Amino acid sequence: MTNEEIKQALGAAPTGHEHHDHKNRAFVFHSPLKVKTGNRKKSLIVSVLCLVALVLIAVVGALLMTQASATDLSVKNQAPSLSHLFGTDQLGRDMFLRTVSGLSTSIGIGLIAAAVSSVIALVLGSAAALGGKKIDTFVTWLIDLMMSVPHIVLLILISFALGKGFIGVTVGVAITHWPSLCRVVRAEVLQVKQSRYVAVARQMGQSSVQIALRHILPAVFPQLLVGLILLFPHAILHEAAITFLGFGLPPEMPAIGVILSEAMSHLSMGAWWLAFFPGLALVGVVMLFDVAGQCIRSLVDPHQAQR
Amino acid sequence: MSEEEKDQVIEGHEHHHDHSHEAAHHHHLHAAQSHHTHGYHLLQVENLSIGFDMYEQTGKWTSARAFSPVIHGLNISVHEGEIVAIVGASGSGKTVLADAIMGLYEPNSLVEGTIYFDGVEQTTETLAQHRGREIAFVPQSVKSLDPLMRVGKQIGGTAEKRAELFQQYRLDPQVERMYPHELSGGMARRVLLCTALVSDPKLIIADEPTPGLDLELAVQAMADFRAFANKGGGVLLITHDIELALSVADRVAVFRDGTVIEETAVANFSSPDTLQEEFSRSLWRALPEHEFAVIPMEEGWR
Amino acid sequence: MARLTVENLTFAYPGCAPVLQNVSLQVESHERVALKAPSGYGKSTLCQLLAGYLTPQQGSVLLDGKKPQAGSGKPNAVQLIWQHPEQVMDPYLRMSESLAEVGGITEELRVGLGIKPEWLTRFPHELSGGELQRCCIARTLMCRPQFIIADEISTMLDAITQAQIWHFLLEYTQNNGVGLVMVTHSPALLQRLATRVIEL
Repeated sequence: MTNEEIKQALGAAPTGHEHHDHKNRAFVFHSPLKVKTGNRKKSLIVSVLCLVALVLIAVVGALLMTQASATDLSVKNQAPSLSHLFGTDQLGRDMFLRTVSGLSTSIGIGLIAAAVSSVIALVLGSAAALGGKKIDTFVTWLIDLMMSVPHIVLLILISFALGKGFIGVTVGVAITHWPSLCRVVRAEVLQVKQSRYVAVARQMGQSSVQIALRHILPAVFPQLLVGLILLFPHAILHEAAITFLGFGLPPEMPAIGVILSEAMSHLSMGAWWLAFFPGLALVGVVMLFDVAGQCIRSLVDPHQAQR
Repeated sequence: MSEEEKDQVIEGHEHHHDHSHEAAHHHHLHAAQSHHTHGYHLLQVENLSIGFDMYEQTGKWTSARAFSPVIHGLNISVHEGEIVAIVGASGSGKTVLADAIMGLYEPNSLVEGTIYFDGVEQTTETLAQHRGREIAFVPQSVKSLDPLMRVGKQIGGTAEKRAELFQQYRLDPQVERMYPHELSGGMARRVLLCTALVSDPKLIIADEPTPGLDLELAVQAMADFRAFANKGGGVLLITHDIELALSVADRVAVFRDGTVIEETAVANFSSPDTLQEEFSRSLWRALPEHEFAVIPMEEGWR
Repeated sequence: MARLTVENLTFAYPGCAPVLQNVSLQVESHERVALKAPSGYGKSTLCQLLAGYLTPQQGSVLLDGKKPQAGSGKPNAVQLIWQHPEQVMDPYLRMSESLAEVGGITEELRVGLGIKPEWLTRFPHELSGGELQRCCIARTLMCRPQFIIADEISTMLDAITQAQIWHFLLEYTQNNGVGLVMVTHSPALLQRLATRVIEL
């Protein structure tokens, strides 16, 4: 609806004071819609598009895994061209295919890590809020402990202890990313638990299980969903970071971290495309997740629901 | 010089655009049934319309944008030294009106109309500048005080001004050092009033200031408003408590479905016969001190 | 005939001085009792104690000699109607879903309280205070309480809604032998409704 249409709707509302109307009605005092209110539909479309793009990258990347590692020494070290959009590396591998496969790996790890993290966060967070004082103290202590150690250090330790590789990275990322989300879940559950409507439901004969399922879970769910999606970029960046540092995925796997660390030794020879495009693609994917997360937040957050 | 002429002189140089309608009683628009004593206009609201652009659920998963007008074609004015009470159906947009006068708008609202304050035409920005200075707000409850800030700091202003107000409203100077939760209901009410008065406002907007107060305190709060008005201020009192409002106000505006349907002198509320609108008469009859009558629900009442 | 008894009730919020001290009173189910006390006495606290929302430090609230309690699937026989209905309903549930928790709403109650069918499909924030309070009263009455505690339930409502709601509650309590304990600041309302005034 445009502002003009709205004006008409306002004008059409029965005033009951027609005889008092100014001859030339002055719209002097006029507050326009400060926020574009078409956001809701736009948010929905944007978030769906982002998610479709991410799924597409993940699926295509997984299918191209074998082509991506195919070497062709006749075309090694080529700058970007139409046949090799992102150029080729020192072994003649197509950088575009390698980047897409790398992103696919990253998204896969991010997916598993975010899912595991959010389950841990939900279980521990609700246990802390509903379970009693001792459990709460323990969980809070655990969160503080986890958050006091820099992520990357903990990640390297866990990944290294588990023998690096895919499993090491996934487990590492999964069990280091839950604390912040867990804190949100705990606070949210506590707040709902102490709300008046839960107290009323209890006096009206609702059991604890019914209250948890009907009143508390639905209130926490939007936060959890958004938290989960916003965990992705973190997980992906950390995966790339520890792989880059050599504590993550093995060099034969197509991964952005591997690509970037290999590129380091060729950058000085002028092969800028080896780092530039994969890096850009990584930033792009992270931003896609971030945009999708923000859009979904604006869709499920009741405070913004009317915007 | 007669009262009427004085009005015109005062307003003549302050309003710039041309008004040639004779029906309008000294210069501005009033609701159809307008009776009030002549005086200087502190606040004039003309033809105010406010609507919200919202989403309405049309099916389980679908929603459509719709525009819902909350206030339309509303006229109201407050004179110097006057208390105007707004009474009427709940959920008819009274709080939205209070927000509008203070320049507070939801981002999805569309506002039209003209507001004059102290004879000067206002915009959203100038209203926001007046808020908390010339236009003060007395909120519903003590909950709008910051629980972590000492009372003195919340009230603001200079120490002398606070001392003066505290003395006027019989508050102990020690109250300055207290936190909001240490205040009793009556003290909190007076603290809220002091917070509003510390900036020397010309106009007070009070949104449901009495629920939760017992009768004695509510009457006291009304007396405080009266005292403020008698010193030349204006009060716009939004309330459900008709009984209380009648005891202190000069004029009553009956609000229904987003507009003022009747604006009348308080004296006319002593009997349903002097009220013009059916709805006003229904309100009168439903009051427990009158007939406590059950008015059958009619479409559009909320 | 049920009887609600309060014996030597003392209550303090954690870390604060006692709000109520040694309060005793008795209400029969055929009565409509108004509680009268100076501002800041703790009437709202007493209402919450009566309906089991708070537990007293000393003394007891007894319904026919037993402590009224909510069990799973069994609502408390003493139900409180709150002053602010916006805080009583789950913001994520539609009216019909909230009402389903207490077994839905009978047609009789719906018509009697003037609840329009379309309100039931809405969320709490989509209803006005008066509409919401009607729904809250319906939900409370569906619990089939023996005593209703009404803590300033109509102060936020306009006179017309107030008269409609109170006339319905009056009729309901009389027909069903339900006791009523009310707090109100309006002397006129008190005179219309109460059969007895307890000065605290």
